[in-house]
Amino acid sequence: MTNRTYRVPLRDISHLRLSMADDDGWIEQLNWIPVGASEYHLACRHFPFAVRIVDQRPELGLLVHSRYLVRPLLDKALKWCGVYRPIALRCFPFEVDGLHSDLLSGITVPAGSEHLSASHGISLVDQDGRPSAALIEIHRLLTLLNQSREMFADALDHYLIAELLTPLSGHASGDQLLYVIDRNRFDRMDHAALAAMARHKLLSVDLAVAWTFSLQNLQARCLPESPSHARKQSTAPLASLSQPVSILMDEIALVLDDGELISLDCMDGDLARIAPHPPGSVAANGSGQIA
Amino acid sequence: MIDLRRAMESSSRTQPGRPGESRVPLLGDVLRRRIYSPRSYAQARNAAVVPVVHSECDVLASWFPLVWRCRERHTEFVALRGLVDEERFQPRPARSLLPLILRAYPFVFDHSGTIGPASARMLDDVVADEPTDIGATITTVHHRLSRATQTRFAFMDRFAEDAIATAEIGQALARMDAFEPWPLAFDIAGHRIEVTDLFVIRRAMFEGARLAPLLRQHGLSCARMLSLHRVSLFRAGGLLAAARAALQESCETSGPDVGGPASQHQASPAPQVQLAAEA
Repeated sequence: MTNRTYRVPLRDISHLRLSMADDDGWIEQLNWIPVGASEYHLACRHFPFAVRIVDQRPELGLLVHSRYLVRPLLDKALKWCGVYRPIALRCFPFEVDGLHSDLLSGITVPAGSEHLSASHGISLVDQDGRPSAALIEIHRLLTLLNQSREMFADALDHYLIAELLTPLSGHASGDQLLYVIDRNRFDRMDHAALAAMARHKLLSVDLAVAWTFSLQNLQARCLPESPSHARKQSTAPLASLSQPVSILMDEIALVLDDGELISLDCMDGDLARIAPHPPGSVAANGSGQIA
Repeated sequence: MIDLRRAMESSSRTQPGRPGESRVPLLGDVLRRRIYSPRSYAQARNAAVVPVVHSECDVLASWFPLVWRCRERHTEFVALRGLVDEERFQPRPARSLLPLILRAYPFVFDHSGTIGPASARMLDDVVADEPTDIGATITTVHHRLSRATQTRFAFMDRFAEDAIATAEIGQALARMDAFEPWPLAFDIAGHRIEVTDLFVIRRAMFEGARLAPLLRQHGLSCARMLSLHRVSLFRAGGLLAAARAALQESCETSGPDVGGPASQHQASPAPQVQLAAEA
């Protein structure tokens, strides 16, 4: 789904069977897959979002290659070890062009796909040549993805207008250029701008927040800003609170008690005596010294 | 079959209450107390429904549903850490992820009014049942707050700073009639687990531009709350899985005596565990 390969409609190859390998190693051949409007709230927990530009139109999707991900989707045996399997992976290697009402003509596969076999695998059509139940479900899901592309279009235009998109770092040479949301710019958007984005639909704001949230799944070296900077900040408990989106799941600050070890025998007095202010204000000077 | 009441027996022994139920003023001998890390206290470890503020959404939404608790016209933004007030019912990787207000524990706010920067700090008068360190005193011999106290007060400052905006957003949503009940009731191993008084934003509110005025007033903090609230709802599945695992673990460790013969429990009504609202 990263390159525009020549695709053929299923009607032309309906005699073939779907023959996926025992492992999921084929996922490593993908960079980016489209995301559906019905799944982006769930997918943002597990995948970084990214936009690709096709025919001058931005399309929203998920990064699935291990070089982008904090947690790989495949184990050493190339078996799936992810949590959520997005629609596009469930429908691989099929796509739908949206131009044909006829299901077998509308669904396409890459010409010469290694996932089709003449001798073994799952049949795509029944004995009467009609689409199988599984294929009908795949068509429904792929149609959802196509509709989602239209639904996201206005929101993505908002991001282009507001210059919220920035190129993704860490590309392999020859890869299509991908873009992620610039969370620093988004964080700087004022109330009026956010309200303007949401004036007709909340989607563009909602999606932008989900997108910034999804970046916790992106390798730090792929982020536009300095990854070392973000990591340094997240190690300090209070600094991490001021940089909430930079906290990766494996960097959750543990709660450690670093107070002085003072003998109770040395203790004297009470807070009222040493702190003439109400208890709610005793830490106001930040130094711990009672003013 | 598991008798949930017996499965929770160890919890009831170590959990005399929820955070803040035994708060005392920071005066006199109280300042001579030793405090330990928040997770040393059963109250902090086990609390299932915990008040949170908007600035925590990015971190907490990865593990816990972020919803509103509404009772007696009071709306509170909360994180649901588990389906039962017991640590084993929380997703294992998230047990060390404490919401801001619990990172300040055993210090708590005076709950007599809306929490804000002027709210008084108090101490929860509880025992650290599982100390993870040797602790630290609240104040030092030099009449200073100890570093441990300073750190916790800083967490409270941060909570208090964002609490007002968080409450205002919740109240505005309530005025817009944006909430609908979020019934969480499960039958697990023949027992009823139910969390009450939780509310979510109605799906229809996200269609159109009904929430745009809120964004104009509260900006990005509101946008994060609204969106990550939706994102976080998917974490309910993780809580359910954790509850099943906890009950399974109880069954395995307690052996066949726990709960008695299955037929007895199938014949009797399942005990209902309800999460009361105080956290």
